[in-house]
Amino acid sequence: MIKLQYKSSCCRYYIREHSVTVVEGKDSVKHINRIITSNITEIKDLENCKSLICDANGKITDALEISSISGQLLILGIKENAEKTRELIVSGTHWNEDVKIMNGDGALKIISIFAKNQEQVSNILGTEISTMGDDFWIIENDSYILKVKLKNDYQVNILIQTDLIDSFINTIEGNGAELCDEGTWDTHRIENGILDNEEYNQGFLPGELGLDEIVDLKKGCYPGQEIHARLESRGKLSKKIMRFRTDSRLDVGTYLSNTGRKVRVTSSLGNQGFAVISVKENSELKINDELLISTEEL
Amino acid sequence: MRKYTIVHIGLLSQGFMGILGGGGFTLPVITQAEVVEVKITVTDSALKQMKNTIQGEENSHCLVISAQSGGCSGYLYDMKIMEKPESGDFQIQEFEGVEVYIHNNDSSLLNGIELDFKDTLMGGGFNITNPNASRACGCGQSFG
Repeated sequence: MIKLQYKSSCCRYYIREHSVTVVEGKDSVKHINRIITSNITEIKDLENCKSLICDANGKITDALEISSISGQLLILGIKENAEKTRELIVSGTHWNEDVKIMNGDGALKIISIFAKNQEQVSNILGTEISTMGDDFWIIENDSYILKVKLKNDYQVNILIQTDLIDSFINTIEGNGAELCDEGTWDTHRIENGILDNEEYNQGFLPGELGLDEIVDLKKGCYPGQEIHARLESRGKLSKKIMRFRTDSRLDVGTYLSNTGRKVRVTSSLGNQGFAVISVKENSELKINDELLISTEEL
Repeated sequence: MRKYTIVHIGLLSQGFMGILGGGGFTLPVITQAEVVEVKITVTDSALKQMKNTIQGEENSHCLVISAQSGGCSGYLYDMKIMEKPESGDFQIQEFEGVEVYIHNNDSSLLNGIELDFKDTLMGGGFNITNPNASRACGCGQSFG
């Protein structure tokens, strides 16, 4: 097991920026459902659904978190992909459908609060998180809180207006939370298998990033569905994301293993990170004939 | 347990911005920016079929061709014979008395299309050739 580098006694927080799109109107769910890989036709109020947008070749072009809040859809995506995704959403609006699309970039931020211990997170928030589900936003003191299901640690995401963020930070810092830097956040997400822009923006197929569960092949056509269905029926996924570790340094980049297959390191802390490798590789492989890396499933 | 100060996010506030409303919080609405003048062509077989379908209701009905997101390639064609929309957001072309309506929002996606009709038992029906499409689905209903 890869060891965390941050102090386990601390409760940390990290501020993440997303693209923010709000869609409202009675046809908003139908409209968005035609574009994404998962099926949100039955989405409930305050429910949070993960989904993907793919191109016609089946490759991921954006990773979304879609929430239904009071009849509107809040769509959080990758910040760098905001323009392209919104263009797709806007240009595909049917003239006869009731859909209004709003740009909320910069208006909302997500604060992720995480710790090794569940009680620490509860203390920081002043509310018990052990009873929370991980699919629905909880309204607590007018805040929106979503518990994130992780492999090792405990995390909640707080949805907050940008202009209220200072007040919120003062509160959680007063309760003992510490702002973490990007390196600590990367350690946390690599330990817990949290994918980020570095993975989503590399043109991988959903299955290659282990995201099959947010691809619904029975919902009908969406961009990329034909490719996904073919891969599923023929079972020919050739590579998959793995967590790696090594005794030496392995930076982000593309390498060749001793078997001649590509190893694409997408995130790296130096001696650990994520890499997309051939499914034919063993759990231990060599790069450049010398660097031994071991891998494990996320 | 330490005290947690109430933070008002305001997502459920009333007003026309439901999610982000309240506290003077408003968001810009995004609309289709590019509107081009639409010119389409219709083959003889397609025109014949359009006339057969409308059958003397040319004064009240029209063919609306539109595009929407979805399908394997990104967008789906949609064609409807319907009562003429009253909205002024449509561009209208007339073919021997039959009017074809295309909404301004779809103008950049549908400008230049050729509407054809194939009278065959398999794979027959209306068919659109779109010069704006870099790819199309095998079924002919989706383009991107």
